Amino acid sequence: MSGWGRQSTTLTPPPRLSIHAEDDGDLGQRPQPQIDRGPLNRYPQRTLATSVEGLGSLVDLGFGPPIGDPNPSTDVVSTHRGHWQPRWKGRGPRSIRGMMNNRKSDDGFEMASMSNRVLELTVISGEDLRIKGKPIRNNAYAIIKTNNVPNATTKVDQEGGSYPYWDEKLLVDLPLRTFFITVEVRRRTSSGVGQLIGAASIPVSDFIGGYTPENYLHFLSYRLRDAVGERNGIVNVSVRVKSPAPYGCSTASATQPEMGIQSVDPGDGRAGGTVVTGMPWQMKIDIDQLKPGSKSMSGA
Amino acid sequence: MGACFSDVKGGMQAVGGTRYPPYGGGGSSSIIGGPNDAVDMFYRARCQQALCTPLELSMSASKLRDRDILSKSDPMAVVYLKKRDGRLEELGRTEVVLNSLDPAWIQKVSVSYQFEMVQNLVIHVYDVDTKYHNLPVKALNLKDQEFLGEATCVLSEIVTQRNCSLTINLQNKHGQVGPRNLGTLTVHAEEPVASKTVVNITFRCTNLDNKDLFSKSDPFLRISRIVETGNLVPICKTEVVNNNLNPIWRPISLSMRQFGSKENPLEIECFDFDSDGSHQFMGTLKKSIADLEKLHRDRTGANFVLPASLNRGREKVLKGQLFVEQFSEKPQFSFLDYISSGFELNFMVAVDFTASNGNPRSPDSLHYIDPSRRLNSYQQAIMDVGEVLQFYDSDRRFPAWGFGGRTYDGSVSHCFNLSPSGHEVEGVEGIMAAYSGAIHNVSLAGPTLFGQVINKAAEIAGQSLLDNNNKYYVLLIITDGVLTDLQETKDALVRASDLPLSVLIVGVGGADFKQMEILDADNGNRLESSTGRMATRDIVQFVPMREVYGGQISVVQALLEELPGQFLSYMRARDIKPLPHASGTTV
Repeated sequence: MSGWGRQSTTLTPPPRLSIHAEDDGDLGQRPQPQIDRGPLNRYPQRTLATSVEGLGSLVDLGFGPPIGDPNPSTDVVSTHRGHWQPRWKGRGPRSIRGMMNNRKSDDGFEMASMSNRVLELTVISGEDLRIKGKPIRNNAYAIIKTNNVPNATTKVDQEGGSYPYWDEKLLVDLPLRTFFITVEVRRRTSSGVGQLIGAASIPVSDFIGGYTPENYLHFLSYRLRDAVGERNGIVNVSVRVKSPAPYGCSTASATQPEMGIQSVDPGDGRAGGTVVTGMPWQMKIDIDQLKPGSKSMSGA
Repeated sequence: MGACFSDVKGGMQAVGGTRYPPYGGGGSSSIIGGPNDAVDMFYRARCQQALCTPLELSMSASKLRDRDILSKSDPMAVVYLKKRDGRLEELGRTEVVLNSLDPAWIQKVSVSYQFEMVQNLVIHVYDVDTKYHNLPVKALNLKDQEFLGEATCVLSEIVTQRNCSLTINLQNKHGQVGPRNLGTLTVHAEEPVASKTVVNITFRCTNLDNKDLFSKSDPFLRISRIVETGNLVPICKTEVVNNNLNPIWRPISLSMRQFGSKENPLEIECFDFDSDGSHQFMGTLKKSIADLEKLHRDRTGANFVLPASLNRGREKVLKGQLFVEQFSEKPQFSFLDYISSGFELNFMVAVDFTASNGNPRSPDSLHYIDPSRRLNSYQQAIMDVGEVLQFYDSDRRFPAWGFGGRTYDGSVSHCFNLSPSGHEVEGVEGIMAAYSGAIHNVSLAGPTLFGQVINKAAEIAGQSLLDNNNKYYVLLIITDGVLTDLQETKDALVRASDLPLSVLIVGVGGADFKQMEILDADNGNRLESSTGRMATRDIVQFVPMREVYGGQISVVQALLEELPGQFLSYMRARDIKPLPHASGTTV
């Protein structure tokens, strides 16, 4: 969800420019990169949505209050809906790929229902990690989460400071219908509960599907966001899918839309549970409805 | 260091050594840390980076003409480098082989291989007269010898052959007539193993002196080469270990080029890091690489000393000791190892067809095709880059695209084939012909978008991985203007950084190219996509043509000098090795 929130900022209307100017002032040391990264720096204006996610994380840990205000979610959803169409158009070549995927959806469906996948995920290093603006001095470690459930954890780097180096290979189970893996970088404290430095969501589509073979060794880097959504350093990982798919790359590509379709039904069931969870599923429905239009347009 | 809280992240990182990108390579030792541009530029300025690769050429010939009446020829080979103006610069000579029409010369000729240039070699073979046999070959006047034949080739033609051997027919000198069948010359190029050796060392210290009042020291090591004048030239420094008097640093990699030889003495200094830059000296010692290897083998330490200049005229042995925890020495695969084993660089080109270039029929248009055949900027860039890269592609079939033009069906396309057939074109001449054809068939339109051609190139690069992993793609984008899709371009480049692809951007005309310099991440800021994904490595190189056109350094040199490094960073990270050599194969 936060990933989409970042994308939507590119559509912020002109009045936001004044806020952008303020951001520029805050980071005056790097004016030029600041200007060109305007869309990303406008993201703090979505703090409310991010706070919702952050608070969700805190709720899981037993700290935060329950979520009661549906308005931010509604706002976020409307922004998402508005943004999706241009992005799809911008990726014209992918619509052809989508059509190809549809032809193989049966194979994809069968393969997807066979088994989970196992990833070899190496958490390599972190860069420029801070807490309250100060570089951390020691004891950074990383937690890998799938569907927000801790899946694997690295050792603690006691010496690395704000540039920790783990280079630790973890085996991560990837359940069906998982769209993101979350990497949380934390600092071990004396109280035993890790202090969150930053988290990054890795879309599964970054290493499954796309152009590369199924068992390709991907080297990926992501911007970390701290508990309030501020940019906070970088995490470097490498990912390889351990179980090769029997039908090769095209089948893996076909898996994505199939999983998308599958997820709608459970989403409907879950929508009654929480307001926040329900909105993305409805978002999915809208996206699915938009896709045929995009394809026909590209076909014309 | 105590209670200082300033931003010191750059100064605390390891620098020098054999640089790696900011992630660890699979299976290889590496130095991890953020970029430190000042120190990196320092090393570059001192030519610590390997800008060119020394090669040794060994030659043999067969079926030479017999020029002696009573005995066979006594051949000698002379190697020249043909300059841009056609002049021949002699690189070296072989010895004279007596009485042989099939000589195998022993003497090797040294030549510096520069990837970014087309290096034309000319080799003359002479029959040395008997009365000159007692003279050293350097003293021979070539005009007094009998000319047997001439061979010409490009150095990259040799290194791209399997086993780095190329056989060429000998010809008469240009303009002379005479008999054919002058025989053949075989040139073999070899990279000295010593120049590729890399030493991986892990240092540990014990009982260092404490220099901080209220906490322990934050030590780091600096390793310097001692030059003839007695001065120290730094070659490497470790990262800073905080609050530790018994530190173990991460492995460092040193190449033979950096320390000269294993017996050269190196100065190893230990400092306490201070954020204000006045690092406190903690001790020094002089050891060669061979000495360090012995320390490792014997599991012994060496004491740091306080030199006489700091201790009232007497050297003081300190309690602190240096140990070598790990020491390994191995040849590191070089760019030429990959190329000679069958790896290829596949060239792709994308040309800007937006209206800002001007009407192609107007002489002041950037796309104007001069009837006198003088090349415009686009043609010049294609020719300069293509004539270098074509030697590294076995089939020499290149995808050629345009963007920002209105194509045959009337729609504006941001990735259309220059060739009407929609297929790849043959050779650099094919690109030029397709470009000239497209100029007459495509209307200039707009806006300027890079995202689609980059995605197209990334798709080709990704799909090549299904077959094998011996192809690396180089996309040349030639543009005159300012991007409309800067963020989409960043997104495409971030995704492509995980693929075997590099992107070269040439800016033509007089527009403001600030956006291009953002894409070329030489300023140290890694590209970031709209979803928060970062580029894993730097794959973009941008050069504005006006700054180098007509100068001594060509566009192609500025563009291509980083390409072998980008290729190697991709291969080494994934632990991809050169293909096994096919023994006994000679072209």
